[in-house]
Amino acid sequence: MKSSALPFVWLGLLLVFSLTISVAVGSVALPLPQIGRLLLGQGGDEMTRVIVFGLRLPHALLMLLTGAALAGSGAAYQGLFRNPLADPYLLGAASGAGLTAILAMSLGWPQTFLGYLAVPAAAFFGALGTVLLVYSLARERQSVSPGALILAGVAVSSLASALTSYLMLRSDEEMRRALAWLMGGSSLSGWLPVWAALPYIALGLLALLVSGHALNVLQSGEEQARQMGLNAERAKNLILVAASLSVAAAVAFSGIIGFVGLIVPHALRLLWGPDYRRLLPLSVLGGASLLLLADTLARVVLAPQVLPVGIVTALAGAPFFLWLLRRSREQE
Amino acid sequence: MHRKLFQLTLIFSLLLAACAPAVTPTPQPTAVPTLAATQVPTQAALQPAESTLQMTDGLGRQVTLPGPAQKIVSIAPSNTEILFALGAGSQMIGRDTYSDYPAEAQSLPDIGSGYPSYDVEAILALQPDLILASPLTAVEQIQALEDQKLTVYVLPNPKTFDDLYANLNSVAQLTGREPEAAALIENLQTRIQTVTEKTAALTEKPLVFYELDASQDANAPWTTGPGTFMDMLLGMAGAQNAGSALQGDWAQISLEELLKQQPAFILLGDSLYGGVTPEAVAARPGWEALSAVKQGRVFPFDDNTVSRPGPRLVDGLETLAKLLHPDLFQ
Amino acid sequence: MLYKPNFSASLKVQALCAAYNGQRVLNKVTLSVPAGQVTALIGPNGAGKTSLIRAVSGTLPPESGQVLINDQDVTNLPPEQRSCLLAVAPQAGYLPSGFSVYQTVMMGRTPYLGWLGFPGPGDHAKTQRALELTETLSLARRRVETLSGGEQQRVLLARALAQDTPVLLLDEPTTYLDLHHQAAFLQLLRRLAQQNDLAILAALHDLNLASLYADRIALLAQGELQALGSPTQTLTVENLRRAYALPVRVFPHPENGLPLVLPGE
Repeated sequence: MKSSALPFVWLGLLLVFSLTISVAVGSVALPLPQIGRLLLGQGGDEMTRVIVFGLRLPHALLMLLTGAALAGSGAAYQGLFRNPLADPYLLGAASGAGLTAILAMSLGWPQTFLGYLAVPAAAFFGALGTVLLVYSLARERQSVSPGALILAGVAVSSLASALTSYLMLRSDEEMRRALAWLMGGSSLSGWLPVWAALPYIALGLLALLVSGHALNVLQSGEEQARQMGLNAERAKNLILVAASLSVAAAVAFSGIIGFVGLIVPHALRLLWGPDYRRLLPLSVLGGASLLLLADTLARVVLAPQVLPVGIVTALAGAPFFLWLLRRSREQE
Repeated sequence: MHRKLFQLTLIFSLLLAACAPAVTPTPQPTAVPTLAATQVPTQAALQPAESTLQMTDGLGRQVTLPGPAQKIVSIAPSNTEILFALGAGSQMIGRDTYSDYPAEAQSLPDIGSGYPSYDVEAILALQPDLILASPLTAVEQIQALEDQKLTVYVLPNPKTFDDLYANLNSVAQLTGREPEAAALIENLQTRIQTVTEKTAALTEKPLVFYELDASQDANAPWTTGPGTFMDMLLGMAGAQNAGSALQGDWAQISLEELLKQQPAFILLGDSLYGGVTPEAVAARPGWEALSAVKQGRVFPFDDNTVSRPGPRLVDGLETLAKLLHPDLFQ
Repeated sequence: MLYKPNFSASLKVQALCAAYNGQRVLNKVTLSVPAGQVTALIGPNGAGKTSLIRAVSGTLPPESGQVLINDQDVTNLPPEQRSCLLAVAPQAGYLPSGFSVYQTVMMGRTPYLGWLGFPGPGDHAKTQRALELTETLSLARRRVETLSGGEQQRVLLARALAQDTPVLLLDEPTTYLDLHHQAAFLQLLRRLAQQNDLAILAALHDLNLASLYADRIALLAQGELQALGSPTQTLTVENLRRAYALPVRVFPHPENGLPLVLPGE
């Protein structure tokens, strides 16, 4: 059996590398030593400082948090639903967030109260509200089964997407804002999104990281888990809330980015096994790195055009699934 | 996909009711130039000492500049066209991806498009003194630019030609090109009058179907509804809009309805970005029954000349008039 | 190789009634499972064997009746506490893949591990002993999906043993085993019950194995207990014909006299 610390070392290094690349790369060529000196507080002119501290660093940190949240929640959902193809949007967080974000845009009054945080706040509550709705629909007396959750999630997602499309057609005026949000999330830049998203993502991920053992036991099914002494209902509820909190905060500011929450935990499980006490922290590291790299690619490949990150992750998703398909065929 | 998206949203922006009030710039020359007799006025507007510009933009925001802008980044194609038409092209240092007219604009640095976000770093590196935006840009993106201490002026969407002239004047003030603006406006007004004089006298106004997009469903193509700029231009060019009975600025009309109405002309606004040709239209099932198709009166149309809210709208008007009434306009 | 839980206890079920999907599956079932013995639970399909195991373990809440361990009423105990008294070894085939045998057996320590699930030296010791008792120590590093059916069943038993409970329930543990492994497994069960004073209730479908390897037999049919006692007392032509709706013949084993059952007139 491999040394248990090795994967953490690898992924830790990958994260450092990804973060460095993300801050080093942009349309203005800044040599790495200069950035290094800047980060240590030495000199640099105003424009360079603004670019590194005002643009690149907060954006990189937001991508780091988002990737961590998506992959961590994806791993948790895959464990909770005992389905390695589950992703963090299974319970409708994405479609719910889109619907409320666009509602907020077309209503206008949220902005007078919350300013530019109105749309992300609406998206956040939309994501959480949708998961809550799905949960209460799937609930039967005191318990809720994974199968019922998935069905309710699909139903509510479809409804939310349909409503969103309808809203976009009606309110011509905000269609552009809606399209921009759907493609790339909030256009807010700088440190505000980072501070706003951080508490929810940190809290959610922390709760998930300590739930690894519970997820392991749940893999035997809820009945056996209870027989082994796990309070299955409490575990499920905690994991659902924690994962949904992280996903909601991630979606609120970064929009709907697919495949990270699906590919990262799945791939890491194939590499290093399904022990969720390890898989969860590894997914957090891996997801952060993947999104940082994807985002860097998205900013660079068609410069000065910025590609939506979701397109890059989707492009990465296709070969991954083909590889999975080939692998599963070989194993038969 | 980006292009078509952009085309459609350009239509939107043109057809937008101005959420913002019409712009009424408040010029404030604060000092009388001294030594005026001995100084020869140059091409650029004469700059009085201490002439700060304070204007209210299309979003109702107060924008202040120390003087006419000399390093402008335009993030809307219509703004780029206006700047060049006013002779302020030399005052531009950057433009968005879709600013392709005039040809000289294409040699300016490209700073991306609004989907999903501009290359803010590149904009910063150019160190502009003004960013000329339009409602094409999401308000968060404008905020993002201002967070970096950039000055952004949003030019509102005009609903009428008077609104357009007001925009031209605003830009002229921002760039110190007031004389050029006056001349341009006069020229535009004359050309418009030339067209409308003749078309107003017409008793028979042909029905025109202006196709915006039929790629989703050829049986329900998108066209412009009533009350839009496009609708207005058709009227001024002596035509009726087949979509005038529809609801909303931008709506789908059914093929059945078209067959009933039998428009005299079909103009393909999606020929430029959508690559739709008259032959392709004739090949669509059911469309061969339209008399316009049978008689070969399906024409590609440069949508940019009727959707970008700039001086080329008059070009578009003239093209429409020539196309629809060749006997009146050669 | 002594493996003694902190105390020995007997399992008693009193007038247990349970329903599933509106249908009554257990009707006033009363039986006892003494410590130190293997009690086999037999009966035709749908008799309620699995339902009884689920009702006793708490996953199927009973309508009425009581479950007592050492005369202490555990009917409504929450899973965290009940799992210290009672462990269930399910049928092989439910093992989540990807985990090693050691990790799987360690999961049996869940009632004592706390939320984070990191084991202490005591947990490692109990896991080790469970592996030794079930002779699966050599498989410890193997991934469970690479094991044979018989090996997997023993791992599940080890997991239940690691839970360190005086009472053990097994749900048809010999279904996927060949004859050799069936015999070996049931012999192991009997040894464990005797040497470690465990109260074991095992649902079995093979009457003759039950006769040979169980100390007592409980015959269940249509949700009701039809007979309870030694093999000779329970496996009679009358009882079996009534329970299975099939004529049978019962022969005594040539050496030990235990009843052997064959269908037929």
